[in-house]
Amino acid sequence: MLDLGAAGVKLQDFDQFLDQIRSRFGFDHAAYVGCNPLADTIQAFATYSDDWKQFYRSRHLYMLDPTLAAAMRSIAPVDWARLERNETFHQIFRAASAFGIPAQGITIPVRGPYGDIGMLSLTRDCALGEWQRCLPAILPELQSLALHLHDGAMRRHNLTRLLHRPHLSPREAAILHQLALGKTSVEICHMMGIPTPMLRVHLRSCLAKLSALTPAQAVARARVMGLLHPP
Amino acid sequence: MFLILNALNRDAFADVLDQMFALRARVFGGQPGWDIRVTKGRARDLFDDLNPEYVVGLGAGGDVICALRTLQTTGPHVLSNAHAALHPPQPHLRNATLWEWSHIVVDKAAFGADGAAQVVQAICGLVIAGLDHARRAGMTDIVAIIDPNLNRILKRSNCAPYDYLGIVAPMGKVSAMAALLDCTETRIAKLRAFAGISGDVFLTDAQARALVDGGAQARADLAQKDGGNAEIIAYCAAQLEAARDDQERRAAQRLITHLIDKGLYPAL
Repeated sequence: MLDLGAAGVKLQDFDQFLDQIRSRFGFDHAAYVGCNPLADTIQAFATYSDDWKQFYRSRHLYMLDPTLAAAMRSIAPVDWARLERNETFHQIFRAASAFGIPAQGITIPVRGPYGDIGMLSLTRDCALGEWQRCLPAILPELQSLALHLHDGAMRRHNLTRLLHRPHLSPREAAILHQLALGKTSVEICHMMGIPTPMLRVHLRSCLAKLSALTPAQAVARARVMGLLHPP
Repeated sequence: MFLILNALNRDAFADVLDQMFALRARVFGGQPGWDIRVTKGRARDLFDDLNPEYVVGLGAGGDVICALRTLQTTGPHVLSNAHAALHPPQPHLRNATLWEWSHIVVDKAAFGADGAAQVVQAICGLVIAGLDHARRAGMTDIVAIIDPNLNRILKRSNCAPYDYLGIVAPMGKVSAMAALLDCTETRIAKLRAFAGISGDVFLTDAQARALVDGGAQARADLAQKDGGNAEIIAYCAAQLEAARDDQERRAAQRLITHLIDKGLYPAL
């Protein structure tokens, strides 16, 4: 996957990231909307056709879109099947179907630390049973990718990029230090006297804070930032 | 049985939410040194205004008997608040697949003086519901702010936290701790086996609405059937509301139990 935490990320990288999600997990479309109250901006990227994007924007459908309205106030993914089938829903999805966008999808909300909210929406036209079967196994990874995407979008603004400077706990820094020394997970758990789930939850936190997709990226980024130190 | 209250259904269950805030006030409000703001018999804090989710347990009569609050750790949450920081102070965990549980509350008074086993059962059900919901949302872990008593119950219920982040800022006489639980089918299965809970623990919105309305209707019907009972019911409700500590709550509960036996109060 493209690394949106690297320096020099360009606008088109976000479209490419969404395309990678789409093809990797077999979705028809992927879209992201992010609201940054500090910068007073809204950013949006999507794999939809330009025609649909133009239609959506020109008619201000983002003001009515029930997938966004529900996800903005949720902490869990919102399966569109649970949305109320009211007139607004039908209005949006009647229009969307004309552009080949199915009414089957999910929106994953991400809350940032400064009131910012991101929403990753994924759609797929397939049998309901297949949709329900595929989601549980991939949701954890989609959650992490949604956060990576959102944090990357928020860092496009100078103020939020400054505020996003990572703060590692002593344990997180110690774990990354041991990884940098080439220790395995088993060795690290033994040395630090912690169970495997504890190592895992701290490592995931390191990846999130450093906007890394892999432990190796996290170690490299922490080293550059001077965040590695011996325990 | 349990209900998830979130953006999709919160408005339809405003009465249940209100009951939950009232339960919090009864349970937490009397604790010396706890920084809980109680207004008109309801306990809320700033995190309740951040659109959290709530896992709510409903008793047979449709009343709220237990609840917990859930927030993402990627955004503002209790442990990211300087005033509730971990001791010793350290940056909090931030993780897309880690949710935080806070304000875990059980209405012990509803189960009476001899209801310790039922309290444990309610807690087991609440944790099962919370873990199952989190797992289905793609979560891998939970950091739960719990007190030593709840910690003991979890350990005895085959649901011991796999580790702890530390002590949360001392909350009066009780020091809460940040306990880590993994959202795995194994953990949930062990807890189900201990508590003897099988099957779906969740109510649909329609089922929950019927249960809550049915309980309220039953109480209203009983009150209408015998006008004198309405006064008794109101008196008992006032006693519970005014109870300042566990002892007074248990006394009020014993009175209700006695009245139920006499057929002067609706069965809970």
